Amino acid sequence: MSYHFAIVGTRDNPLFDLDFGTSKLGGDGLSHFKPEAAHMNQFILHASLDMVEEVQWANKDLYLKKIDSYQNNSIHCFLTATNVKFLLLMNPDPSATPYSQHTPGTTTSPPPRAAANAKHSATLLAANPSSPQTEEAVRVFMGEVYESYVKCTLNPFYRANQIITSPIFRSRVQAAAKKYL
Amino acid sequence: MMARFSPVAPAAIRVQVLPVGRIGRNRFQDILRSLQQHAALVKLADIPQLENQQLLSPKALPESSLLFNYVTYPAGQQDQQLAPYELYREPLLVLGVADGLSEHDEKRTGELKDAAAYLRERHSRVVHRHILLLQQQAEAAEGVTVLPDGELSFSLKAAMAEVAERLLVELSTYTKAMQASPTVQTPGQPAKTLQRASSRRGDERRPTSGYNTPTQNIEVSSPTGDEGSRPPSRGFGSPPPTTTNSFDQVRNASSRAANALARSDSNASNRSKNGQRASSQDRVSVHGFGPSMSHEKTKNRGKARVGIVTGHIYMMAGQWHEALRMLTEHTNAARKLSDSHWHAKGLDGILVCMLLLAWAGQGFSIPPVCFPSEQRSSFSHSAKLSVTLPTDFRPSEVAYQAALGKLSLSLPELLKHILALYRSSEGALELPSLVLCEAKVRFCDLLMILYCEGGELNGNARSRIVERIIPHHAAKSAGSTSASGLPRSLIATMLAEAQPTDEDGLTPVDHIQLLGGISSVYSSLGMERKSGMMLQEMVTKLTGALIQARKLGAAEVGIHPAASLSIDVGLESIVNVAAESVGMQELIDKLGRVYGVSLMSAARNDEERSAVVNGPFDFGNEQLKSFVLRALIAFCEASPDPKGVLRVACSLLRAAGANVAVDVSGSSVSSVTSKDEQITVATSVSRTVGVSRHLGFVDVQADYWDDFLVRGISFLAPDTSHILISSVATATDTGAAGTAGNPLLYDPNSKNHGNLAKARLPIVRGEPLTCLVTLQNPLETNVEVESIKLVTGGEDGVELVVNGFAPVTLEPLCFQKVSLSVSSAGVGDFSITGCRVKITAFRERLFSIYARPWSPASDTLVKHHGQDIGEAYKPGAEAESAAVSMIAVEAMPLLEVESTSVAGDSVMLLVGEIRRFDVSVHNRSPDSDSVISNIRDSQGILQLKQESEDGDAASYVGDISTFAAVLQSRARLTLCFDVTGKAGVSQTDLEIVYKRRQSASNAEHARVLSVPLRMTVDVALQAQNADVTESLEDGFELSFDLRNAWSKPMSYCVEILRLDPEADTGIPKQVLLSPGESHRVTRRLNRWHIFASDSNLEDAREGLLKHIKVVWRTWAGDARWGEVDLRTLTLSKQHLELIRGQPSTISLHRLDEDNTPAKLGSFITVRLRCRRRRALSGPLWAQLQSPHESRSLGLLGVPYRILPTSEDEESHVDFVLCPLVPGTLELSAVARPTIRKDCAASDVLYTERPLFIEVA
Repeated sequence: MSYHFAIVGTRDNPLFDLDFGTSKLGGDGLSHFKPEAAHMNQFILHASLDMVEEVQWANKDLYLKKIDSYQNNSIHCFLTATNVKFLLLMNPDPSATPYSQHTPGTTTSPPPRAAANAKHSATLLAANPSSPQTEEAVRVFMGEVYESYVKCTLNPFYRANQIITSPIFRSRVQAAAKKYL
Repeated sequence: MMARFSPVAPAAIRVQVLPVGRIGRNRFQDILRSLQQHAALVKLADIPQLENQQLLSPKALPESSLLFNYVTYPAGQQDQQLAPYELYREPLLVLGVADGLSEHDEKRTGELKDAAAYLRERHSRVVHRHILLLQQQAEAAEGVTVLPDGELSFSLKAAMAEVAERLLVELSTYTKAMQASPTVQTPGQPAKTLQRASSRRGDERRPTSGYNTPTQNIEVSSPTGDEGSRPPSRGFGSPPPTTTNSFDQVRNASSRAANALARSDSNASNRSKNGQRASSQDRVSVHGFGPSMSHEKTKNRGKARVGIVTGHIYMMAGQWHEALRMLTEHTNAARKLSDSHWHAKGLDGILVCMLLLAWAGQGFSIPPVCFPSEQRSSFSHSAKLSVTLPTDFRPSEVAYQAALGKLSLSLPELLKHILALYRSSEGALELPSLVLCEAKVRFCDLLMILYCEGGELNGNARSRIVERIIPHHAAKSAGSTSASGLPRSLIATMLAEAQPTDEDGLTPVDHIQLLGGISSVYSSLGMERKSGMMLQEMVTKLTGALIQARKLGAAEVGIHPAASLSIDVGLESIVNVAAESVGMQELIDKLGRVYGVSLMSAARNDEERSAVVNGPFDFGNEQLKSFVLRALIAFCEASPDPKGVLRVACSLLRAAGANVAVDVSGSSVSSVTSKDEQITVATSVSRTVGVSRHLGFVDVQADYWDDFLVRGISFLAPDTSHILISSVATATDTGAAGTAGNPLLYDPNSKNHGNLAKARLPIVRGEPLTCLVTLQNPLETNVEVESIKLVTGGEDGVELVVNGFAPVTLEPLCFQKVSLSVSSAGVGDFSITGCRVKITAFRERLFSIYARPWSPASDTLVKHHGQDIGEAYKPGAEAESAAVSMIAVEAMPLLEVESTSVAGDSVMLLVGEIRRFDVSVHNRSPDSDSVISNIRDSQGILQLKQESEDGDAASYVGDISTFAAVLQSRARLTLCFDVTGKAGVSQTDLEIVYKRRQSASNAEHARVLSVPLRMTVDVALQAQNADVTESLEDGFELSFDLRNAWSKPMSYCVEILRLDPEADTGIPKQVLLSPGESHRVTRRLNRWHIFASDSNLEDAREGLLKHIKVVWRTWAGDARWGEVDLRTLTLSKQHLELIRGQPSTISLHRLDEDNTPAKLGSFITVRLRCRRRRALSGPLWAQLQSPHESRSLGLLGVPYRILPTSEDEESHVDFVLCPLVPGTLELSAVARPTIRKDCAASDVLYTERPLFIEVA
């Protein structure tokens, strides 16, 4: 159960990103993505921006709920008033994501299904990303991040589309993740 | 061209086009392209009918058409296995395009026969083989069509109609055979869960053979058992060529063996291929045909399946109405028997039929089987209404529109239903994922077209579906949902499911084509990012496949000639895939656009390139950019596309260098790519260029990525003798330097100041000058500069020539100054605007000079949305390119010092000593005369002497700065100077300024010959302890000590210089002073000779020094003489005031004889004399005063007078008086300015002494 959270500016440019895992149900709070997920997650989020642009006109709330999925990743979005997107990618079992990247010569055997964890992970938020519980948890998480983000952008030296480097902001996002996800 | 993922693709007949004879590659490709363009649709009306053809007669429905899909590659293994289920995957027609055959008729007939036999042998499985002969003088034969005369598009169409006629005949035979067969097997693969379990056990999953059909197993066990499953293509054909061929040989048509031995061989190979898993496959296959099924049911099911396949054949043959009827009937049967895969297939076919009918404008009705069971009752009712009513009451057009509307409304549900049926598993079997994925892409394509046309199957949509004519209006912009309420997100979700994974076991070709198809649908939907992600994946996949194919190709060459047959995906088919997909360039461009990569433009124009691209560089994700670029490099390397490699690699390097004019601090360089990667990419650029050159592609060269390579051009100052100075513009220069702005005040014009009066840097024709070019290298790799040329602009067309440039390597991450020796060939004003730099492995190109640091400024306002940043982007200030303005001047003379009269380094002088100093100069220039225009001396101690004719007697030239002399080329000139020893001066520089003679153009340029003169100056006679005392009226006494500080005796004399020559005191006396001895000298001087102004006391000193001079000479050894510098005398303020004296005095004198007593009663004239040193402000008012009573003195007139202003120092006024009493008469006077208002007490003058007159 791993999460990838990213803030994407108006020019498709990432302003902030963070990988973390769940802290609920005995989770260690660390992400367990595959190595290729490092770029694949970014590709997936980039591609899901198309869906954001589709959904945003049909929804009057800032929180757009689940907007897209890719294999077993699902993406939730929160759209700020300045067209900055908060994207949360959640993956209940990162080791089961094939990603379909061609690796010539080596055909990796598919990883064992997490059948053993199935019962356990069924109670996790990411196992059913469209459930009301998940949507509510993500909504609260996004709300908290939004508050921190607004405070961060109140800095008079912050320009639009500038990368957020504030360690305080990062720790706040981490705290919110630990609290709600 | 019929696209693979067109919604009507199942109705297309696949035609494999092959070259026959000696046909040129380009000719063949032209024909292929024209076929795809013009002959993809053949109307049934155009096809001539053979007399006795009952089945599939083209006259049955003349409005419909045959759709041809021309390819050059054979069907893959998987396509063949899917063939009866999806017949359109297999080529039904092989078309040989023949050219270059013999001119001789008989010979040509033989060749054609051979070719036909070869085709029959090689492609025995296809329904029909035909040869299209391009040589027009030949006559047609059986199975040969000669391309008729005329325009290519029409003649091809006509030829294809002829071919289609034969094809239809053969196809009807094929149909009969098909109808005769009892059943058709469903191609399937074990359901994924089972497959996984088995693969884990067997650990030999192979992507290319992961979906072995049960057919194969049956075939192995009983070769005759599958006779029915695949109808023999030749069973009842008119010319049965190889009747002995049984079907399994047909299947292995790629092996050329036609006899039983080969057959057993191929079977053996098949068995060995599948032997290991035969057991598990058998077990799986048994599930589908369990003993629970009754015989009757099996028979019915077989009938339904055969009916559906036949329906598809009818559909391909253009019998759409008939096909729709057959399909509806048999699909109903399949549904009832819950044969879900065939149910889906049937529905799929029905849908295609309806689309085709709609396109052809034929009336049709939606069969009720198309609706899910719960809706069927209501829909069937209405559908029935719409079917039956139109013929009777309503006009057919209205019915047609109603059917269309219904179809478009029910499409999404219908497609979902078909997909669900496809997805379901038949026992433990499920369809190969290829079928599923392809169906999804096809359906999404259909939905996309529907979405783009606002949810209506209007004319646009229909022609787009069948003819793939894409209308010009762009896809709807983001945010606007379609009027039909068909959400884009639904299509996108469906498409996302169509994306295959590695686990699906698809061949690379299928995988890549699927990705391409998905990408294009996304793109049409306006979801460019998703499309880009698919493209990116496709590129990665393609790269891997290409590398793999290359490896196999290499192995094939090295190992065994037969090995090539075992490769099911050869290099060629991949190249074909690449050729059939969008062009590489467009693909790369599109990826760049989606991910915000600013790719180097492919344009070669220098002028275009020199303008700095000021694009939105901050668009997109840096990491993704670098990932995509790396993937593209790998792709281009694998393709192999050397130009693409260079273009992408340079773009990557530019992205790594951030495309800025780097600041010295270097903080602006962000590094997305690591050092190793930069080096790898840079190496791959040079390697690519090297290899291409080796292969003979000379024009493969990259464009250097960094527009900001040249960061400055400066010139090293030549050595002092060569420096050119401006002899005119010095005044303006100092003026500009003097007005340095206040840094605390804002001056809007300060920026423009620089380009107002910028002095042009002179360069002398023919004389080399060292130029420093500053180059930047923001990357961590070395850059090798092969050559640098300077580009000049200007009206005079002056060009600079670089002499002998040695290649330079730019070190990583630095600015480097490269020195060049340049010289100009012409004369005139010009400016250096840039450099043409050739860097190893890169094309020589023009670089402008960017002297100031610059980086692209981003928008501060965010006003755009989505990816269409292009119009909304407001670029910041463009980078300012600089130019160095210069002037090339005519060749200048060069003077050199040949000799000086000073022996050794320096000369010893005593203070005040005067010594002769000779300098001999030589004009080295071979062809230009020189004019010495000016001679200067930094300390002012040299005086030029002009040699007179007779040699010895020399006279001073008054002002050396105006001296002028002409020096012919290669001539010599000796100049004589007197040098005076001055305390504290150890060196003076004699500067001789000269210029070229007779040249108006560069008169303002001159050169300076500098001759340094070193000296040691010793003290000689010192004057000190000055004192000044008042002496008589108008005079003072100056006294000072003269001390001989020199080690040898010397004599001196003091000269007083008077202005009036008659006052000369005669020859002064010489006095000898021994060393250390001092004399006190006292001289009386008249104050009035010393002119001093009131304001400055120092004037008094200067005036004094003008009139007194102490000359000395030594007697021992060389005679030295000189003057004592009296300036060293310290004179206090009081002394100076004494020297200057009072500014004005008045005095009284008697005019007649002085000392005789005046007679009582006589008239005496008394003169009041006024001496004024300064001009007083006005006339003076003078009054005579006397202490006596007024009766003792008689005065003529009043006792006061006005003293007029006069230019002279002296003025006077006379009083006439008459003493009336004897005794001594005392007279005094007072004077004051006439105008009283500004009269101060100090301005009132009194007589110093009263005048006494004895009166007798």
